[in-house]
Amino acid sequence: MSWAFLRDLLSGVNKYSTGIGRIWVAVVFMFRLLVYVAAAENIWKYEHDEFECNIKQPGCENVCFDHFFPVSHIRLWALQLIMVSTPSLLVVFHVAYRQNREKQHNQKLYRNPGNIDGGLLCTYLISLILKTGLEIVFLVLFYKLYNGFKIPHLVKCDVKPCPNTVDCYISKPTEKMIFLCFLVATSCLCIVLNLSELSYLIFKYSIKYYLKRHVKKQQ
Amino acid sequence: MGEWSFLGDFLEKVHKHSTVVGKVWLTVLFIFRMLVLGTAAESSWGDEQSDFMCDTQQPGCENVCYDKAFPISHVRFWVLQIIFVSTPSLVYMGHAMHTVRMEEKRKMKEAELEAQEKKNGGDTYYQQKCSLAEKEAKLSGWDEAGGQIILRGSLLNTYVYSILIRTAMEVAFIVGQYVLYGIFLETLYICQRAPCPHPVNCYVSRPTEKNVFIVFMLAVAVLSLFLSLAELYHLGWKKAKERCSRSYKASPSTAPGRLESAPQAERAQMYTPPPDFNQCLSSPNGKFISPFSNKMASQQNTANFATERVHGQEDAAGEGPFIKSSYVESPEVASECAAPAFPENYFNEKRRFSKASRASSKARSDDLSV
Repeated sequence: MSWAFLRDLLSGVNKYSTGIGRIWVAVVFMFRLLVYVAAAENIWKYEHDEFECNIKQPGCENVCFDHFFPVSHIRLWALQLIMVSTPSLLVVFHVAYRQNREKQHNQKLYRNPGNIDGGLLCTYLISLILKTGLEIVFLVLFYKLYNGFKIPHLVKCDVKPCPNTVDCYISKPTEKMIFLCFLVATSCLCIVLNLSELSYLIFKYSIKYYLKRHVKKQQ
Repeated sequence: MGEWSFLGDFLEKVHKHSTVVGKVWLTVLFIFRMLVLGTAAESSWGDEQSDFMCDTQQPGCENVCYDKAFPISHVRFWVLQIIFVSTPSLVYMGHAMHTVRMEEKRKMKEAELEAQEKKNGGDTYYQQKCSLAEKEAKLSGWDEAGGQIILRGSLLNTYVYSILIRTAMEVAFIVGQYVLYGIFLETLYICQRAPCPHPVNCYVSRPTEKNVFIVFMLAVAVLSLFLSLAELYHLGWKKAKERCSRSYKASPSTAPGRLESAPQAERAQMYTPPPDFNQCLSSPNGKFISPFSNKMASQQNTANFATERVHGQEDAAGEGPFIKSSYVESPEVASECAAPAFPENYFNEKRRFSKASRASSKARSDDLSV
């Protein structure tokens, strides 16, 4: 799986971000994307083959695995990474739209197309809200799907065609749990960064707007 | 190995703005850790669970025994180690880039203001063009190899803290690896965990090969730790030397070639000089070009500059030889210590021969006011 595409995309986003936005991009690269690609993928690689149930009944292992892992952790992790990075593209598109407009009209319409003001500020705020929302949605999804963030080493399965309650053993549960905790921690860190960026921008621009109004009134 | 290119690109930038020891540390990280991990170690640990054999037919016993024996695989542990050990350097890089950006913004604003002032004042067109050219050169200069960041003030503090945190991380991971696995991997692991009905013999796959890599990675971690400590010592020693020479200068000296220090205003100017004709002449890579053909004048300038550096900056860049600021040395020795990486704005000082170089060498009260 080539993540270079996402990496190049996010490098473009970096140009039009605030300082906190750049920290967010660095956290996503280093602690989420890199850890996923270099470490986590390999842990979940043979999870189905290594999933073992204490029964010889054919098909029992398959149904039990499907029952306990409707979507594998690693696939959810990948989806989360993609969904959470995508709202930043809105900002890139808006800047490109601005530059296109300038070209079409052949005159300087904006002081700097990449400057966060006016419509671009709204787009930026919307992208932040979307990012935060998606992070929370995925965290809740993880929690609901797997009954918390724990991975037990033994699960009891009584789905047909298993004739009775069967012991099934998950492979590498401790290692998976360590990386799941890592995922949750980095998710929470990203949520905190997004919320602080949101409040910083709202605060900064409301002060600017208030000062402008004050100066106009005085005039 | 492709996955490490993510980190590699970030660390390339850090490489440009590190001290010599820092560069060696980064090279060690790239070659001996990332490359080895990505190519050799990954394939050695590839079949770690599939070939982990337990002497039992009990279903699930192998799974639980493997999980007990290896709560986290060595390879994943080393991946986390590399990431956590590289992170402080990236924080320093972030701070450096932030500083650069702030400097650029400030200088752009200054240049704009000056240009406007000069427009109103009706000053020469040439100086305006010069200031703009200087601004552009500066802006483009920071991205290139010549745009070296000078380590001083808060940036130096960030650098030192990043090395301290990096050292702490290395120690934590080395200790962690020792606590988890000891140093060597045993071939046989005896497992007692439900559902295994009794203590079971489990056999680790490729233990010797794994031991080779474990010892190698441990040695590289210790080497990195040593390099970090050496860098700390190097920076600390320089700082201490600076402080010593500063306190030495506080007491009057009768050494020959007594220098006149630049007045406070000129020293302050050195940090935020207005754009000047001379700066337009400075090379884009910021290197000092001596206009002097006269060796004595050049030596005098070197010694003068050393005074400025000791009073003004905390020089800990480590690029080039450290400028000796002790005044017992003869001018010949001082010239050997001339650092090539003078700041660009050095030229702004109105350099003239020190009165003392021709007159008596007695200390005067206005010399080197701290």
